Amino acid sequence: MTAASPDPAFAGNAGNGGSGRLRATLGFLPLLWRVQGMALSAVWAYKVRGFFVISAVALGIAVLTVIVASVDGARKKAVEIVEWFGPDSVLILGGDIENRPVGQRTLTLSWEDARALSRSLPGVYAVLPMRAKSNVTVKYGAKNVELPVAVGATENYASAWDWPLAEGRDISADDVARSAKICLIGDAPARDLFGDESPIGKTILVADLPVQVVGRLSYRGFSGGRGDRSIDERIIMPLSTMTQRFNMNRKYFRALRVKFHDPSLMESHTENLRSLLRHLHGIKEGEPDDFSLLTAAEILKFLTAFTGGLVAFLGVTAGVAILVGGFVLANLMYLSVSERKEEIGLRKALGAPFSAIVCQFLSEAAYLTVTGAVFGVGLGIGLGEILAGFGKMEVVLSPKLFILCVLAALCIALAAGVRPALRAARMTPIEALRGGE
Amino acid sequence: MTGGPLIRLSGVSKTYALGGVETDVLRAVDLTIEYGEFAALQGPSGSGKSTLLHILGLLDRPSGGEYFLRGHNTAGMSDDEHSALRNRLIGFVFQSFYLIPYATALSNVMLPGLYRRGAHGGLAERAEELLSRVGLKDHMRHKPSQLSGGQQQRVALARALVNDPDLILADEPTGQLDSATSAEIMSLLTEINSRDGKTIVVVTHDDATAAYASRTIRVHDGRIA
Repeated sequence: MTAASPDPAFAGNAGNGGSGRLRATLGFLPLLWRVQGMALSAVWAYKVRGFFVISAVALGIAVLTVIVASVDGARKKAVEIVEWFGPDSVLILGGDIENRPVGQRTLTLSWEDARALSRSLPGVYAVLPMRAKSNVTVKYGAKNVELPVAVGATENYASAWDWPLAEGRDISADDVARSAKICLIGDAPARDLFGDESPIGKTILVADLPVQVVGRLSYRGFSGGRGDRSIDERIIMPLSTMTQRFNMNRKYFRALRVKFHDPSLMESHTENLRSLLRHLHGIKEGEPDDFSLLTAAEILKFLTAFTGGLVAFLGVTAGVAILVGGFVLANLMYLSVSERKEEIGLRKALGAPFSAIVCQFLSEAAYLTVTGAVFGVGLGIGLGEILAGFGKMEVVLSPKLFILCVLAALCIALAAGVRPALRAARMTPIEALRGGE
Repeated sequence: MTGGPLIRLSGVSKTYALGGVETDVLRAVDLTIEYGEFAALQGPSGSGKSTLLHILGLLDRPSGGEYFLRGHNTAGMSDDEHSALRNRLIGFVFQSFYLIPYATALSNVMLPGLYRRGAHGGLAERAEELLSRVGLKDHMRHKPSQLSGGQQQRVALARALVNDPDLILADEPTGQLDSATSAEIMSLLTEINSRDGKTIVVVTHDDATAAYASRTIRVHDGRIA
């Protein structure tokens, strides 16, 4: 007997070449869409065990959320620090902080150095000498505060450091020339001494020296890598006032800030600066520097090392949690497949193709893990807020984070679900139906 | 419609390897079933009647011989092609009903329609109509656990009809039912045969059930007697 007339029931079975196969594949798409409804009702039917998967995945995703948010937070902070420090700046500290034998000078930077740098170093547009007096007591009326540092600077401190004034004026060239007894006040001491009152025009005692406040620096609010000390805990006086009134060495100073025109050439600028200073100080080849150079890049390196440890710890935690979630899911899927053999056999007997069975079990896994991811992101945001509250790290949340977590969840579903799903789809209907009896 | 019979088996055999020992369950079976027949496969347990039904239903593949369904040789077809043929041409009724426990009666009846390739308009209406026809108009939203054995088998009957197949295969459909309920199910099958013109093959060891059929095929030791 030959097939005399075309038989629609066998139409899909002609199987002659590519176009037929393509049509067959496209024909499956609406079927796979209908399978989603079946997957959802199965997930709902087995909701108690689904809860375990959702919890395990949520835990992993929560930690992942915290990691991504804190890495983003660290990056944001890094940008802030570079902006504060100035991407075009190098800070030269007298004495070598890494290599300082007993009795070695810490005051190695002189006015001659400053002059030589501004005259001979290519690309320089400003050389700003600085001194610092550490652990200074500042009094106003009955109140007093202990500050980690009082800074002696030349004119235009606020603009040189890109640190806007909240009120008042900057230090002028005239102040420096006259050694005027004036100062800029940081946000922290201003708050401590004056509360909501304006400090401008008030006279405070800096280590018993009466000084008039002429300007107030705006709030910066980060530690700049120095632990609990805030960058806002400082006052700034003219350099000349500080050396004369506190009887400090007038020839040398603690630090020099050098600003260059082109920040993209910082590396070569820094090297030029180093060799010029070594030449000026008469340091022979092989001998260590008697100064330290600090750039924004170097501060960032230090900070990254600090937050990197925390991120690594959280990363391991997230990895373990996600692995546990994956194992729970894989086991549950195997349990599901062997427990629902009868159902699988029936579905195949009623005409479900291989792809529909694979699709159903993978979809069930994906619905569980994605639900877990949604709860996990919520939990992670909560954890991040708590961590941020402790001040241990800054946390930044973004839509990128949410997408990343959902993708991670889908990967878990795929990794844990694909083997059980294939096992289900490979069963012959009769073996699956017998298994159910 | 292609001329010739709905089903033609030619020299079909089935061999199982159990614990290293090869057992012949079916030996060179030749069988022809015409459109519109109502046949009962009868025989003692172990005779191979269930295996024969599984092969007719494309649930199992023969070890040898050829199976022509509507004149087409099914041997060279893939598993997915067999799935598609089961879906379009064959309705199943099993001894233990095999309903999806977490789905409603209506969803269970709709299931073969959902797996059907191509258009799906009016599936829910058709399922409702079939459930009304088997007397379960008021039980459409019930889960299988809320239905009696007879009611569950009616749901299975409605499910077997939803894709309007040529062939209904019933494996011991009354095996778990009392005699009164069995009679109801068998008269429904008879009506499906006479009114809808569906070809029906029933496997049973019960003479009362076999009596509804117009033709009895006796299977003994893997052969048709």
